[in-house]
This record gives sequence, C-alpha cells and structure tokens, in this order.
Amino acid sequence: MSLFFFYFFAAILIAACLSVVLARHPLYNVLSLVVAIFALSCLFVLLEAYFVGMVLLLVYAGAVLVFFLFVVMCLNLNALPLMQPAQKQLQWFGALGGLMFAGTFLLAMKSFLAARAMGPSSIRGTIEAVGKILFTNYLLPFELTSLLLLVAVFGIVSLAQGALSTGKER
Amino acid sequence: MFPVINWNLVSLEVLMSIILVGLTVLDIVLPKNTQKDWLGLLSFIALLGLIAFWLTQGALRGVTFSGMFVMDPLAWFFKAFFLVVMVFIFAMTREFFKSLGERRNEFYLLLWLALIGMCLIASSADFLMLFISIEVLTISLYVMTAYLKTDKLSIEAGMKYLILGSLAAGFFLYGISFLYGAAHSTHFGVIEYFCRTHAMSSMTLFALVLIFAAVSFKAAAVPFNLWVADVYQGAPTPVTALLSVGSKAAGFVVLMRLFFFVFNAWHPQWSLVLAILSAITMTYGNLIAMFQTNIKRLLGYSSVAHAGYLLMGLAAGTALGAAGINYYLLGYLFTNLAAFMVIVVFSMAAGSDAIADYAGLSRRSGILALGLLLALVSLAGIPPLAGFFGKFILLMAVIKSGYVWLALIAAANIVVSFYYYLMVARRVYVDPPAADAAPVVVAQGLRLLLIFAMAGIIAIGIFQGPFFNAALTAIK
Repeated sequence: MSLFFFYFFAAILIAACLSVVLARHPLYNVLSLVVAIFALSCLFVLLEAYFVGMVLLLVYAGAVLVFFLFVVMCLNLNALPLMQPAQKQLQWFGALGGLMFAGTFLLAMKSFLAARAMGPSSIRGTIEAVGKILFTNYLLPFELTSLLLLVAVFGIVSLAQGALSTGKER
Repeated sequence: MFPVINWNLVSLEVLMSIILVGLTVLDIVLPKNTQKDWLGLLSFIALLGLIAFWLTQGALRGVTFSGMFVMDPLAWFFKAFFLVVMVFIFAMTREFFKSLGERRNEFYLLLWLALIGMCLIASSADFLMLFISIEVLTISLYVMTAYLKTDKLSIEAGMKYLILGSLAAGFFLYGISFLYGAAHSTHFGVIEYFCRTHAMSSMTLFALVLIFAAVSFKAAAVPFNLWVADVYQGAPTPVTALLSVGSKAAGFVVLMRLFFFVFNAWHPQWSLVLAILSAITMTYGNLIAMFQTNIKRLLGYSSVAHAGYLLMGLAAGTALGAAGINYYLLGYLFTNLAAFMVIVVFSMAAGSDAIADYAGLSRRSGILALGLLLALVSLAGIPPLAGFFGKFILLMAVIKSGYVWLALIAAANIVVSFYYYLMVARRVYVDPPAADAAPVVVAQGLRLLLIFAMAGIIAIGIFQGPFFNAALTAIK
C-alpha cells in the first residue's frame, strides 16, 4: 500500500517539478512549486518523518511560497518566452553540462541502489524525537543558527538603511 | 542524556560572542551624531586582548558538544591566524570608512561575525556544524561586499558573490547528503572510519567532487573561481583583503581537515585529481593576471594562482605538504595584507585603483612604495622573502610525492608571475609620477602596521626555523 502511495506522490512530484521549470507564466511556476512541496511532504510522511513533512508544508508552502506569490502578483509579470535569443548560443553548453551531470548522477545512483535499499529511519520523526536530538547531540549547530539570524538582521539593517531617502532624492 | 560541555574549549568563541553582543548594545546606546569611532577602537583593543589570551591557550586539546566541536593544534593555529588577519582588517576598515559615518558601526559587527564564523570553521568536526559555520562567514561577506550601496560595482560584486555562493552552498549540501547516504552519519569521525573500511564507490566519488567544488569556492580555486575578479574589484578594499586572506585560509583549513584527516584513506584516488586541478588553477590565474590594468583585479587573479600553489600541498597529501600549506598561508597573510594596506591608503588619497596611477609612487610616499615592492616580490617568490620559502616547501612536497610534472608546471608558472608582479614594481619605482601628483600621507597607526607586515614578510623568509616548526606542529 505504501509503495503505491510512494509512486503516486513521486509521479506528482516529478510532474510538478517539470511544470516549475517549463511553465511560461511565473504564476504557474510558483503554484506548481506549491504542489511539488505538498507531494514532497507526503513522501516524508511515508518515511515516518512527520515533523519534517509538517515543517516543509507549513514553512515552504505556507509562508515562503505565498510570499513569492504576492511578489509575482505585485510585479504583474506576463508570460515570458521560454528562451531569450542571447541564451540560445549557450544552450549547447548547458545541454553538455546537464548531460555530464546526469551521467555522473546515474552512476552515483546505481551504486547507491546496489548498496542497500533503505527503509525508514529507526528513529521516528516525531517532534519529540527531533527535539531531543536537536537539544542534545546537535545543540551547538542549533545555537549557531542564532548567529545566522543575527547576520541576516545586521545585513538587512545596514543595506536597507537610508534606502527610502535615496529614493526621494531621485 | 545531556552532553557534557567542556567550556574551556569554546572559550574563544564564547568571548567573541560576548564582545559581539557588547558592541551591538554599545552601537544602540551611543549617541548617533558622535564623530569618534568608538566601535572600531574598542574592537581593535578587544582583538589585541584576544590574541594575547589565545597565545596562552596553545595546549588546548579535546572534543566537546557531542563531538561537534574539536580543538586540536590545527584549529589553534588557524584561529590565531584569523585573529591576526582581523587586526589588519579592522585597521584598514577604520581608514577606509572614515567618510561613511554611522554606517561603519554595523560593518564592524559584521566583521566580528565573519571572525566567529572563520574560527568555528577551523573547529568543526561535523558536516552540519561545518555548513552552518561556513554560512555565517559567507553571508556576512555577501553583505559586506555590497556595502557601498551607491557604487554600482559594489552592488554587482555583491550580487555575483551571492548567486555563486548560493550555488556552492547547494553543491555542498548535495554532496553531504550523498556522503550521509553512504556512511549514515555527518560526523567526521564516523566518515573517517567509513573511509578506512570501505573502498571509494562512484557515489562517494560524486559526493567528494561536489564537496570539493563547494569548498573551492571559498578557496578561490578552479572550478568555482569565476567570481574572483569582479568581486575583488567591486568590494570595499578591506573586504577584498578579508576575502583574499581570511576566507581563503578558511577554505584551506576545511580542505586540510577533510583531505588529510577524513578522506585520508582514499588518498590514492583523489590526489591525482587535486594535482590536475592545482595545475589548471595556477595556470589560469597567472595567465589572466598578466593582462589586468586594475590592481585589485590583478591581485584577484594572483589569488587564484596562489590557491593553485596551495593545492599542491593537498595533492602531495603528506605531512610536508600540509606543513607547506600552513607556512605558505602564514607568509601570504603578511604579504597580501601589506599589499592591500597600500591599496587602501593609495585609493583613499588618489581615488583610483588603476595600475597606471601607481606611476612614481616611490616619489610620493617612500613607505607605501617599499611596502608594495616587498609584497609583490614576496608574492612572486624571490628569495629571501616569505613567498619564496613557502613555494620551495610546496615544490619539495609534490616532488617527494612523485608529481614531478606538477612541480615543473608550478616552476614555469612562478617564472610567468614574475612578469606581472615586477611590471607593477617597475611602475612604482621607475616611471615618473603624473605632473599634479601630491605626496601621499600615511596615518601613524597604519604606518606602524605596515612596518609590522613588512617585518613579517622578511622575518618569515629569513628565520624559517621557528615558523616552519609552528606550521609542522599545527598538523600533529
């Protein structure tokens, strides 16, 4: 049963990801990303990583992508041509790079599958289990994310400072 | 249940965080219209205090925070290195941002965060921890690179650095995920055991390539070096100096920890790849550096070339190679920072970074000209200065490991690099100055620091013994 659901959501995920890259209209890109993330979080739930699945749904689909959607709608972007003329010369390099990457990736996946098929982790992905690990083994990295937030705050304050006043001068 | 934390080991990071919080509060409390640069002054004093404290902590050893944080001679050496780098950077920043007013205060805070990030990188013993430390450093560098908001070049540099940096971060995480899939852990110790007990598969090779590519972004080596010239040119000069010395050294401490400790068992498989990358990196840097007309771009490509030389030590994969990297970086610290100090003072006075404007500098300021000459000659690797002996050890290391062809390529590259370094030196000493050129005044503090850097270049070149011993003990 879970195998059926795995293939079901995996198919949705791949279709949605393709649509993220291929859709012409920015609005459809963002909406497809929402679908992709929903499918991805379902896959996490199938792996019994409930916490990661929920966080993915709440943070990405719930907050980040809605924010994207606002930006896209505010900018009022129209459908774009799939490729700019200037990019056409580069597409062969892109295809070559992509093929090389895909080849290496396939090789890597082959040895990955040969190694062992991994089932769900022995630790259940509940909030309790994640919290326990986060505050014991991973205490230091967890605390260090506060530094990351601090950098972000300083960065925004210093770069956005006076942005409005320079706008007036123009 | 709860991990036992040995606070002694993290004392430096804790002290720095306390200083950071103190300075942040001070920034808020201080009256906004004050002209005196309190934060810069206090940061400088705090740094000197931290260096004095750190020199007494040389015997610190151990692991804490459930194996996330390691304190060994390598970490000690590089933390001391980063502290000394920051002394120079703070002095340059005070000079460079004289005109910036209150915005410079946030810049100091970002510099402190970058310092904390670099020190944590040196002590990381887990990929998760390493990733977060690298991001603390890199994100503060993104902001600092784009700090001159009214300067188009600075914005462009910040944007390029951000995009390529995010790409590198993505590569890094992707590589880690494959490694985790193979070894079932992100901890260095577990992965090291995995490497000893398993042969390298194509999956782990894939992971290794991705991780190397991402770290080479920090070290400015091929294949992730495309940002170097534009970012070096556009960033405020103190940031360029930090990128070229601090960020590069942070990249190499990661590479050393990964390739000398974690992946050491797979040395035969990766050493040839690193040797080839080293040859490509140094040739690329040196060839393009020849055609530069802007001194910051020139030093950018020269920094790529030096990353190539440093990779030789990694390709050698021996203790001599590792000691060579440490020694080389030590010489590179004083050499490159001396050059950037001259550039900061000159660009503030002349308003230009074009090499053509350096004509006749020797008649406008003797000390600047002498500082630049010593730096360039040491970068080129002419005895008896620091750069020569560093290159010598690295060449010895690769020859002993059997890569004679790499040593030959490096030697050819060193000869090529003479050309562009000495061209600048010729402009400074031989060409006549422009008719309206006024003498350049150097502030007293910077003059002292420049003399200190020059003394460092000469001392490391002549008295190799103690410095080489320091470099050698750092890898035990």
